[in-house]
Amino acid sequence: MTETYSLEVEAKNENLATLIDWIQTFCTNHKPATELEFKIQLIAEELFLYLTKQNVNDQARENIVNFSLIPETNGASLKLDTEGSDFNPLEATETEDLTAKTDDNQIDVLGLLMIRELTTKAEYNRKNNRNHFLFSFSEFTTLKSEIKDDVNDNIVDTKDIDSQKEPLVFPERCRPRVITLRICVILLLMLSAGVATIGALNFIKFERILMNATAERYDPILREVQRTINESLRGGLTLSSTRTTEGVLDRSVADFDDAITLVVKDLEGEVLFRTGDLPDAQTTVPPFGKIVGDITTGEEFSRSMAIIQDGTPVGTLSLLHNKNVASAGIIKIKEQLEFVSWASLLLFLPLLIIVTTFMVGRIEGRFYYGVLTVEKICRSLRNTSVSSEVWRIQKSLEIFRGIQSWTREMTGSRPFLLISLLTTLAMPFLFLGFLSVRVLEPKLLHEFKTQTQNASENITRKIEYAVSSFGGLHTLRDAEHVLDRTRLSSPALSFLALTNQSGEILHLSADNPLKVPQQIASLSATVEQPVMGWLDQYVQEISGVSLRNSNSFSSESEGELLISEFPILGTDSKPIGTLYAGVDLSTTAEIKRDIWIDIGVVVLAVILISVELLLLLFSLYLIRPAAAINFLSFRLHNRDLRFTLKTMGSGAAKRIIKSLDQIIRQSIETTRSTTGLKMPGPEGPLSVRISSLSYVRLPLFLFCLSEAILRPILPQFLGNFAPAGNDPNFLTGIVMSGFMAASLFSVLFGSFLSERIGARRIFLIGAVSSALGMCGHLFAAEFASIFFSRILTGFGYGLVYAAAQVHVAQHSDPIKRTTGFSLFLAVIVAAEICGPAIGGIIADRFGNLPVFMAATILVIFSGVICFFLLSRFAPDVTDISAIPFENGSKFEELSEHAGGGLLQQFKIAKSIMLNRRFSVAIICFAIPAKALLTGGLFLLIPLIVYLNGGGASESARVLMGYGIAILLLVSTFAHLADRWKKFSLWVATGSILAGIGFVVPHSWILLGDGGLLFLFAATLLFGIGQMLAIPTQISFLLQTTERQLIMHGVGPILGLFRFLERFGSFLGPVIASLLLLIFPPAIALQWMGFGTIILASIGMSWFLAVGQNEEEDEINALIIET
Amino acid sequence: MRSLSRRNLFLGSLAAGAIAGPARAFARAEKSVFMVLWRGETEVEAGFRSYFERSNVPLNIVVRSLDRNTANLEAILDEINDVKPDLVYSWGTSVTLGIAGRDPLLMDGPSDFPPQITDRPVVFTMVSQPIKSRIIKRFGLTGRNVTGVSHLVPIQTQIEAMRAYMPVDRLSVIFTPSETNSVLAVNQLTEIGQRMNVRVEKFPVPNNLQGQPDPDSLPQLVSAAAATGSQFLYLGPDSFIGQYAAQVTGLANSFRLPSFASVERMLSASDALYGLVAPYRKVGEFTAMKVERILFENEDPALIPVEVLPEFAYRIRADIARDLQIFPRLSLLEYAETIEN
Repeated sequence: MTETYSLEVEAKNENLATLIDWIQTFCTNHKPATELEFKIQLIAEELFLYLTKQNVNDQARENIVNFSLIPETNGASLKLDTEGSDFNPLEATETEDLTAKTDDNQIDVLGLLMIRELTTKAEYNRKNNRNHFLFSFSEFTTLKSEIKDDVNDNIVDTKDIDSQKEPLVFPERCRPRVITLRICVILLLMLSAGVATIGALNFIKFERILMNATAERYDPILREVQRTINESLRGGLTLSSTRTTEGVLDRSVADFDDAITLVVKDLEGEVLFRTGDLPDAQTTVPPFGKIVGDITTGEEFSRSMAIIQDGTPVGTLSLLHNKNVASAGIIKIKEQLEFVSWASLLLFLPLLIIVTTFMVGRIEGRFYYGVLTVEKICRSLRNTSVSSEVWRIQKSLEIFRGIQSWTREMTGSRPFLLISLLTTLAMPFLFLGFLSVRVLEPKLLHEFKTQTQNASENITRKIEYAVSSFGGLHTLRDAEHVLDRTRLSSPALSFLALTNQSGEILHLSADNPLKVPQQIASLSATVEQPVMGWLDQYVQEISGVSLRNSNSFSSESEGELLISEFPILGTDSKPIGTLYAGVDLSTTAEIKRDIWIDIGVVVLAVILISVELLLLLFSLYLIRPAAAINFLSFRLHNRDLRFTLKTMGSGAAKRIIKSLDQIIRQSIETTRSTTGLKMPGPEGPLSVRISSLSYVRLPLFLFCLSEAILRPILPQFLGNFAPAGNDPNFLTGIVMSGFMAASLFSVLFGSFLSERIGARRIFLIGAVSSALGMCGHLFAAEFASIFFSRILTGFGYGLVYAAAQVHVAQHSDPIKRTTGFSLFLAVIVAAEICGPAIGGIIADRFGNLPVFMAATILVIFSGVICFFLLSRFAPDVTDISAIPFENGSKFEELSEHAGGGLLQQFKIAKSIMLNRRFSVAIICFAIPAKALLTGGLFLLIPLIVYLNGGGASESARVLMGYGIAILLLVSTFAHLADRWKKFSLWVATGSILAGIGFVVPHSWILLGDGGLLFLFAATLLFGIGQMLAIPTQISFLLQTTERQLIMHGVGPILGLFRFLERFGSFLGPVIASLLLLIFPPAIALQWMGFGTIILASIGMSWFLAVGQNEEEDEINALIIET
Repeated sequence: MRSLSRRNLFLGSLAAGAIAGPARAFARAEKSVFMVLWRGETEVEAGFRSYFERSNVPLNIVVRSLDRNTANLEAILDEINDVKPDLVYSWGTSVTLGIAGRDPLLMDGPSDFPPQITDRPVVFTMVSQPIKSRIIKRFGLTGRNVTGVSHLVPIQTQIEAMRAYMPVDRLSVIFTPSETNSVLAVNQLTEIGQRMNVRVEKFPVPNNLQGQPDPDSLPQLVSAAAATGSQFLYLGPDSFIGQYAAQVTGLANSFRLPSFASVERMLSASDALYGLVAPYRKVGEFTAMKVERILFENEDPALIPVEVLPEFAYRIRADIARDLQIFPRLSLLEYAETIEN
């Protein structure tokens, strides 16, 4: 235990600081007294000042005061003995007027009451003409009398507080007001918009699926007729000379009761044969083997194929059928989707309101009651005339401690709150998705059945024709060929099997022939009813008529297979066999999966936008005001009255900040002793701006989203502008390079200018430039205009990117910079994850131009939000516990060094580059990281996916591994990086991990089992590595360039960093392409991975050898420490 | 079938002729056609006549037959010069060579079938190989007073047709060496067969003591053909074989050797299993169309193309298939017609 501390001091004002330091030293060394420091200080100071005044009045003698601090288990005791007249502060009564001002020479009544209230034990005796005091302090003595007097009993129950001995507690009562209402409105808007979007997108998708499915209903017939004509032409007959064509068409049409029309045209478009009146609009010969058709125009579906002879098209075969059936089905679908959308909305809307009201209302209640409590105390303090400012500050501090603990709780509960709200928000979408799929599925199955029926009946007719001509199923020759052909005509057909009456398979065409007998048997077991079979046989024997409807077919789902059976009738109309058609329902499953993916994308977009909006609201109404209150409490804690806050927030937060400002100003005006206090200069307290880091999130997200949604369509769109005779791919590359080049330079200048004229202005200029560029895409007519539009967009992109990162740098707490930049990265990655999918959906449903319109709107929104949210000035405070302008200069003043002409900027860049640590970090970590991203992830991984049999969607899913790793882990690891520092290790470890991620795919393939899942895992590992390295790089670079940071500000360093980083982005595809000339993609990727590992290892070794900070700084630090 | 453009031209003409015929009859003067046939009137002429009967146009037809003897041609030519018909109609390769002659640019000398009738239009029909026989240089416009219709499906197409029925690598053909038409067809069959890896076994019909093809040799020839293991017996455009087609195919069927008919007469008048044929009646109607254009629409025969009949039919004798137990591929039935005797 700590020993007893003693202090003998004369009662003079100038000795007050000694007393306070003495108490501080004791309380620091004796832990149980730490929390009691201010109470002890308050009592000691109050008595000392009283004795000092007495001493001033009686200057004849020297009044020596003996203080002793005795450590106790739960606190401490303060002993004091002094000369002077007899006075017992414990004799004051509770009834005396607290507001009454006493004589300056006497301890005021409030001070005496305070002594009694703040101590657990107070004793007084007088011996040898000396006054002896003993005050005992223990934890949890409270401001019970003040609270009792000043605060409504309904708000704080002081008895409870007293009895529980707990710090100031605010009631946890649910009180939904403006914040809850706003969040509720935003969530409801997002819910409604999401449901409406999903409903509309589903309808458009379903309409197209159904229209396509209905249009494709007779495709098997079209393919069969086309193949038949092709075969009849084999050997050199001309299309017009095949008399048999006429018969083929007539027979095919007759099978469907003239529901279809078949038209044969020659190459000149002259009609050679026609079976009906429906008009055929097909004017060109379709590509070989493809069915072309327009489902959007006209009153009927037109499906056409080229007729081929000796590999050359000789005419066109078109199949026409009416749209009425499909149109009726689509109207019904629309009604059903409207119903399920409303149902999802109305069912979950109350739930969302209840959850939001309960959860946000509770927080708002705490906030409101906390603010109300503090506000009332502040008001009472303003109305109270007291002699000790320290006492006033102390009271405020007690309240702020409560607020601090409460804001910590509130901030801590933010993830839980967000997850709860977003889960509730996602529920109706999932419900809607489930119902939507249920709406579509039966209609899709019906279309599958119809297609199967059409294809199978076509075969049945041929078989029956053969049987009637030649005498039985045994006369069928080469039936497998026809079955195979039909199966290939209908990709969904898994098998076609022809059996005789006893169920023996005579002819079979199947993906997996061995399974078919079992599948047919299982169908027979479920479909065949023994009694019905016996009855049917009996009736047939008597009457010759089957009880079964010979013209119909039956279907049964068998797992993922829909099996239909079609009876084959002999010459006497008796069944002689059965044709079984198995339809693979995996296509339906794929369609359902596509629908779910689309819904998932919309939900993801809704959730990401909701998160951004909620975080913005939280930041506006709760987090930033709470930070402001914390800042003031820290200042008051340090007896610092030099700062107030600029007006911010709204409602209760605004009131409390205003009250605190008033307390500070009043304290400054009324204080009599400045000892131990940090007082403002003659100009009064400085109004400071607190940081608003997260304000940039939403505009940045929207801006990045605008560019990300273009990704799936941009290459193909740009290729359309290639002048005739030029390679579209090459020109697309040129245009995309133009964008990159423009953004490369604008990011450099944007960073310099953001420092000079403010991030907000540069962001706005960038947004305007990009919006104009996006508009240009809409009106571009030739190559030059689209090239210019892309350049303009790229220029704006670079400016916004630069402005946003400077904003993040300026608003981040320097010791938590990695966390700040992780936010930057997370926002970009979030936009990159959902952007391409959203763009794909829009392009898929509405075409390319609407994607550019959407992108333009997003950029405009981004600019408008930036205009209203982002401050014109850099913040004065990024760390609420730090003292603003401690070095005597503001952040903006630091940046005064930035700017100047090009030569000046070049000099700055040169001075930064001359920093060896910066250069090594760039070469070993930053450039390889970006090169690996663009060359490895964006170029080589998709190639590997394609080589492994995947397509665009598989490629996108593999790439998602990167985004998922970044999005899920970046926040946590950024906090850890900020806490543990040693950024060089973080960056190097991340780079090495990312490299390993790209080395393993080929090694795995060498082992003989390459797979998309493994590629996904490798990409995930790469993402984890990048997640460790990339956000930390900024903190690392700023740490290595501290001197340049002070000299030039953060902008030039970030600008140069981004410029060189983007150079890495440019290098990536170049290196990958060069490697591809020598190696296959997996090996090229492996080499890029190896390269990164080697560079990162060199970098890490170098930094371990020379350290992160410059030698001069290290020496300075050493001198200060010693 | 509602409409068909090129065929429409053909069928539409037939229909128009039937409907508008009486009206046109008043407007048109009677024309004369001098028919020179090889072996009397056939289904082709029936089709020709029926076309004009439906059209109800005034046409005077004079018919002369060579009765399979080219020596009779000279007298007929004299008659033509006397009668001075508006148009001369020639049937078959031999007759056409005698009347229209070879294309002057393709003649081997002045005695190589020079054109005999040059002052009036000549329309030939049933010439199976007009290019091989050098009557024309190519299908299309002739540039002289000659046009006509060919009825024979290209040999390659015929082989493909046989293969569509069943796998084929060996064929037998019985032919009359004295028939130019037949010899040309057999030579072409052999040549194209080689290219398509189909071996052609040739069995020429020997002459009897009178110097005519000997019908008594046919059973022996058929037996020899069956012994080769051929998949089909090819029945080409041979008048002699056509005359004995029923006997030949019956014998072949007894050896389970199916017959493939290249012309309709072979198929309809015999027990051939299968054929890709131009219906004779249609050939006659198509020839009539060309004649109508020359006589009643005053078109220059030089500007009317020589064409192959634009209609062929795959026909299978289902009864023969059942008897032989040789069934076609199911895919063939998608476009082939099955017929019964």
